[in-house]
Amino acid sequence: MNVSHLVRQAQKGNKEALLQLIMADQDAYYRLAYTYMGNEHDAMDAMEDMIVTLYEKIDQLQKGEAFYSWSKTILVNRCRTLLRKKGRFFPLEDEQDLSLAAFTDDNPYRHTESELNMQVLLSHLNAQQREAIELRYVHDLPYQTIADMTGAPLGTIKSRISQGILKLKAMIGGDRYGDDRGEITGV
Amino acid sequence: METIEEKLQEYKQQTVNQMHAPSELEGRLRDALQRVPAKKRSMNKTVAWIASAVAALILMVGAYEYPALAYYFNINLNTLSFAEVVEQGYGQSVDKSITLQDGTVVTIQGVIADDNVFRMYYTIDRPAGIAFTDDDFRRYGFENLRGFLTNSDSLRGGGGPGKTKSQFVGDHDFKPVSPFARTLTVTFTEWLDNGKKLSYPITFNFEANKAMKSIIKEDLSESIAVDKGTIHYDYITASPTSTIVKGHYELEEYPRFSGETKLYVNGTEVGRSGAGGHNPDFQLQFAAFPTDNIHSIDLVLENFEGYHKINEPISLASPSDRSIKIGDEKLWIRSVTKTETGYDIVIARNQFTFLEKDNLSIQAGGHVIPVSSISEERPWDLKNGNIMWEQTYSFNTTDKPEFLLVNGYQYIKKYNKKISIPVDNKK
Repeated sequence: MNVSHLVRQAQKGNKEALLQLIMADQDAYYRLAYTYMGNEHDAMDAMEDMIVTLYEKIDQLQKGEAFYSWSKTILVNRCRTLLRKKGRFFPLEDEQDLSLAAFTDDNPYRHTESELNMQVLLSHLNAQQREAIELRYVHDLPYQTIADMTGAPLGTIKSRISQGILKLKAMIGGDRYGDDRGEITGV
Repeated sequence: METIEEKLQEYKQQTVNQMHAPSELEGRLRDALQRVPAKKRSMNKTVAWIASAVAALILMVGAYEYPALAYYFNINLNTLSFAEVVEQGYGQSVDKSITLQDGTVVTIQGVIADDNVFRMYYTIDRPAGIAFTDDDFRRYGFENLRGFLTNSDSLRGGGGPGKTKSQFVGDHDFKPVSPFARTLTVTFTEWLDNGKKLSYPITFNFEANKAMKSIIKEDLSESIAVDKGTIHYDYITASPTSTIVKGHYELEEYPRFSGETKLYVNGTEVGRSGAGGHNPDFQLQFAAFPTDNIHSIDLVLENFEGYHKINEPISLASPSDRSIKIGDEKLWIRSVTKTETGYDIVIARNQFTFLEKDNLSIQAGGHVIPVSSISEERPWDLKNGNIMWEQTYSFNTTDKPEFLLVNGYQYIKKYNKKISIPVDNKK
């Protein structure tokens, strides 16, 4: 698939070309939206909004090869806006708020022991660290894209990730993990 | 011992990577795109059309009217910049600016109004030397437009680079405003890096006498019967910027596909630009009428959601990659395989043909066994340019399946039904 060619087509107003670009990576978009929104319905709504924005704004995309990071940034922005509207996303006001809505109890993708562990571990990070780590390690996004998505400087993102990783390491490092969470949360 | 990176990797594999986009995603996205008005062509200055002096013929009824300018044909308002709109003698200048905290200046240049849209032309100038970036475009936005009897939602917006790297020139459409409004307030918003949003109201006078009249604005009482009910067409407004047909569905549920409806004026198709709606209402949007000299207006429902009832059991005796024609569509019973818990049946179909899941069952050994699980859909490439979609249907039975029992399927059905809108062309 020639991304640049499809982007040019989309810039000329070809809706199918735009749809083709998205569908080629549909799972990645969906997973990203789901991580934020926490349910299929809201994830799909966010993606609908995203594709409309992409269509309206694709003229401004100068490098075709940047399409995927650009469009995912728009998706994340949209998710954050929707969450703000629902009052569920306050990464700045309340650092301890477990605001990434993903993986709630009705999430069908949560079954095994080890992922629950990871879930518990991640829940001990603050919202910003957790978001950055999920974007980096779960969604495989580059640092710069994460910075664009979250509106934070690149250096801040790097430090959030490294501090988050350190915190996670501290948690699995010792035998304290499991029955002594309260102490570690304060790190 | 596992490192945290490995644990994260494992977590990713076991949770997020198990998630797949729902099968209806593509349809949802396509429909969303269809609702967006088609892109304006680039603002090419070679709009060499000369406005002829043929006065627009105005056929109007309605509760209220814009005092209104008559509209002259041969120009396409949707391709013009505001300066060009003014050159043609339309639109209202506003020329109001606000300055944001960082020195960025937002200017409302002017507006045009008709029965279908309120369009605002604007520029955003970043401080000298600072380029306007994609990120700026995401940070800035317009929210609703308010005024007397007016609370118009934002519909769409777009634009492109201006004279310098610092400038963005755009236009933004809102729902139409009341002709009784004398001042209007639009809210410009800016997201700051710290996640806060600032709102800046911009108020300006609205001169309703500069709004443009519609070519046609009338109630309809037409309907088309479809498999699961009726589509009613209630209203048409052909304004200088676009044509909108409104209606409502009388269906068991809001249709999965909005289908394809075409509009013909004097036998010539008028381009479609979008569709949308909220249950049970729908709205179809088309380009502006090409002329005011109207002899006929036809709406043709080319396709729409259909339902085919299946009365006969479908034999499972000889699965193969050869299709079975049922109604207008084809199904493929690709395989019937014994598993540890029963039988798996793989059925393929066109992408937009959906077997009804309620009561889906098989007949095996004299019993009727309901389906126990249905897999995600997967593409099946026929290698002849066609890609079908297949799913595995599992049944808990030790008996060999004989027949598939299914109520019917939903699909995109060709209707090709035409309704003609009466034209009162005698002034």
